[in-house]
Amino acid sequence: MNGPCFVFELGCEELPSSELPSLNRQLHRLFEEKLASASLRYSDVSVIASPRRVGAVVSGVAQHSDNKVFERRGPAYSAAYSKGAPTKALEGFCKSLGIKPEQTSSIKTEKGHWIVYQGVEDGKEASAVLAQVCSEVIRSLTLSKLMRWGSSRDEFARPVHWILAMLNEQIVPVSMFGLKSGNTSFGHRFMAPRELVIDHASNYEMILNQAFVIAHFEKRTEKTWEVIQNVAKTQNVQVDKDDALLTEVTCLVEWPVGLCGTFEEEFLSTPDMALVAAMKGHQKYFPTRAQTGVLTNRFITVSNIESKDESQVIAGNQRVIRARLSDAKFFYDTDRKHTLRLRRGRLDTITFHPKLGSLGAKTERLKSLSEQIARSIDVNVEIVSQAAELSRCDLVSEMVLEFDELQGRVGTLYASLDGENPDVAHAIQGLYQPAGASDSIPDDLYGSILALADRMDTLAGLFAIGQPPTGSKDPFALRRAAIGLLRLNERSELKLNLEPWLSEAFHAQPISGSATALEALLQFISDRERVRLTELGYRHDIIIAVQASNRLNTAATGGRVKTLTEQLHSDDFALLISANKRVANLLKQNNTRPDTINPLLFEHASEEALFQKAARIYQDVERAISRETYNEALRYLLNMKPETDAFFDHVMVNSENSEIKQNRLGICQLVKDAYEQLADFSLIQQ
Amino acid sequence: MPITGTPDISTFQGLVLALQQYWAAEGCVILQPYDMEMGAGTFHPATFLRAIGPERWNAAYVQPSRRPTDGRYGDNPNRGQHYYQFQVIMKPHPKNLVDLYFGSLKYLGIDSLVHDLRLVEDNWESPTLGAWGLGWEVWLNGMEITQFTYFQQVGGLECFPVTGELTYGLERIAMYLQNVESMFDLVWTKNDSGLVTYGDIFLQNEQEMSAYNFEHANTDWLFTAFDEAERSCQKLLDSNLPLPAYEQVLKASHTFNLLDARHAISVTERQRFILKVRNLAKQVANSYLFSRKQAGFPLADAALRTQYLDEAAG
Repeated sequence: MNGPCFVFELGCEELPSSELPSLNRQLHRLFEEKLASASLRYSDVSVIASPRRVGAVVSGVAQHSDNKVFERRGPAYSAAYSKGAPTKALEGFCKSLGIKPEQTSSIKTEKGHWIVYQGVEDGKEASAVLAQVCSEVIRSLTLSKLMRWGSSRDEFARPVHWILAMLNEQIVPVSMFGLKSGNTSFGHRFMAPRELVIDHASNYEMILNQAFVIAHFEKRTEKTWEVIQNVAKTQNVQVDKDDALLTEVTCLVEWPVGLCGTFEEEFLSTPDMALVAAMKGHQKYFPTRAQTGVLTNRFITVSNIESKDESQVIAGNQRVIRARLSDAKFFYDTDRKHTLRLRRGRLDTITFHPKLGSLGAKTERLKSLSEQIARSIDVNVEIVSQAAELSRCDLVSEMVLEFDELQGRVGTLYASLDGENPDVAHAIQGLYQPAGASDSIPDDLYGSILALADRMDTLAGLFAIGQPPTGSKDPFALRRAAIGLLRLNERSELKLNLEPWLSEAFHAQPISGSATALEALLQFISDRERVRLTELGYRHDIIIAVQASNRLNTAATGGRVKTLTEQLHSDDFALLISANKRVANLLKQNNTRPDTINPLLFEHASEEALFQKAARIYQDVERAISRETYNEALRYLLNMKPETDAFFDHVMVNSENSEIKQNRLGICQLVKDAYEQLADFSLIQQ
Repeated sequence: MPITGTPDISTFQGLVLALQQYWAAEGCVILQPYDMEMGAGTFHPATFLRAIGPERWNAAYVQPSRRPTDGRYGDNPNRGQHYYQFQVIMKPHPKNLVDLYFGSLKYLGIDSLVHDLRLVEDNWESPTLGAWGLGWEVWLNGMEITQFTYFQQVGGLECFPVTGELTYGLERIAMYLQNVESMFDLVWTKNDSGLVTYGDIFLQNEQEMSAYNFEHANTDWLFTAFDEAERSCQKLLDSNLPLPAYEQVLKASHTFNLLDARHAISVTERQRFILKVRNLAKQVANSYLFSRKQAGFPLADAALRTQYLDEAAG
């Protein structure tokens, strides 16, 4: 840790908790990037991100940024000297750089002989570089919502009040947001409401700590979890680790203090999910469980102060949660007066989309499509049908109206309390899965069918009425729906060819969409699949080669792409590519796609041999693909090589006899067809 | 001059008086409630209209607020179709508005070293007013007691300079200060003959008005009234009378709320009604800005006035 220490802190009014984690990540990246591009060496960057401040501490900063070597090209050598003396042209060049002619040299290139000057630009003082870096970092931040304040045109997430920028004990002059940097920060809003003089940048963390502020995001996260754990230990309860909640709570405090509150035990008769949602969602409390795993009537809240009277903070929080839990209990009791099934009618009165009808109509479409899928893969149609019927009924329950994140789960709970078939009840919650990239697909087949069919219906509907996503606008989250669809279809019992099913869903919409719209839908799914595989690191040409032969049998694309990628650099693969190219080129030249072969027209044994072999290999490859053993399929294709070589050695495909020529092209086509079961090899770039 | 001394916050009216005193001392015009039905203090012309344009404006007032769908026939201790907001408006807001706000809590006797006070992100948006702003809900030991907003746009117009808006939930704060579990148990005042409670004054009102809102309001007439308000508003705008036109916006908005409470508007129609009100609110905002420009923005600082007048010219 040699070299000076630098601290930069932008003091703000309480920053949004939804923005702070992203600010933390961006500051990390941007400080590293900007310091690197400014060639200023340092040993470590640690980011400041708390409700009232963002910035960074950079330690081990070099005194100067690195020297930069540069080269300037001058006049042509022939124009630089006249009888051995510098010309005006050379003098002008030297003057512009502040050097003498002796300092230049010359260089010979293809385009001639030139004067050059190789110079070194001295590094700049750290202070000046850092000031520049800070301005660039702040300018480069991306915020989801910007605001103005006072009579200023400046914009940030919340009003900015001060700038601390110091290199060791020196102020680094930075100005932004109409403020000039100084050597002061501010303490905790209530526990240390005063200006803090930072005497030395390396003391920043210590001084802030004494003023009840843990400025570093990760350290505060650790501390917050620690105080929660400590309370849990004292109370002999367990707390589920919920990273999203922990992060949110960390964003709401500068000085975390854990407290335990209780609520009346009678509330525990309300389903856990409602209690947990009320505690976490509204109040950011951590629910607790007994060592047996059962939810207790104690909750942990994290306050932002060491209160002079904790009991008042606890009493206040208990009062709020009591009201929230009373609401939850009320919603539950109200909901239980009717069965889930009875709510189905109300879905007919709620619009899904003005052009696509009500939620009731959507339910009918979902039901019909799910039933057809179930029938096609020989799954109990009645269970799927009932689950579809009930799947959205919880949307009109009081519980889901209050806690929308419980949709699906409430449906499953109420269905099982109503005594519906357990498989039906369980399937309901699958409808919304996967909710995002980190969410799993339903653990049951029935739920997976619902989820798959529902995504197809939504996609088909929005494309049918001409509202596909455009640019950054995707209000119905169709991209996510498409990715979900691809993931669901990977389930071994499904593995559907999506094309006919999407077409089915498309034609079931209340508005008849155009053929172009359907084509756009199929292309959209295919594009999402390509993006998904590209993001996994696969090559674009391999993906489209597989997609060309595979169409929307999406479950198989990934495996084929993986196998081809693994074999890409093997010698055998090169042979496959060249053999395919040979037949493909012949067919392309003749612009034909023959579909019959007449053995009576064979003139040479190699024709019969290749014909027999290709026909057998075609079937072998087909079987291997159905077993998803793609390496095996590749090996079969390679097995055709001796016969293919012999064929091309002994016969001229482009025979003068057009009948024979057409017959030989037919053999080529058969070979090509065998290949194309796996991929369109002509699209792969070697 | 910041205020000193200790107010009597043991009664509901004492709380109102204390807040008035505090914000009067910070230079606010203390206004009385607007005499029309509205859903929140933001609808008061002293907020909606005064947030538009370059002119300075500091005001504080109580606004009775009506939200027909929140009625519970007086059965719910925390909810009513009629309640009070205490509204503070400052344009441009002072740099230390957050400190001034916490100062007001301190004045009410809420010790920030005892209680856990928090500014929790809350982005406010009013679709009917074409308005949005960023700020917080203020938490007192986990309970929301105030909305704090920096207006960014009102009536579709950019707010410059920025207005700071504080909306105190009076019943909630009073319930906390008086340590009662129901708003109807709040002590409004104490006198020689004993206590007068919030319930003494408003319980019957909650019961009867809930019945009116949910059961008796004449929806045919309300639909007619909505259309009439819309028509009148348009006519008044044509005559360059933004203030009476705005009253028609208030009428339309409250009429819509009543229709909503009667479940007379379907989900899709709902959006259409909101758009109608917003459309009117936007036109009124433009008309008001124009009228102030005609007057030469008398309450604006010189530099901003010139800027706005030049903009108008160009």
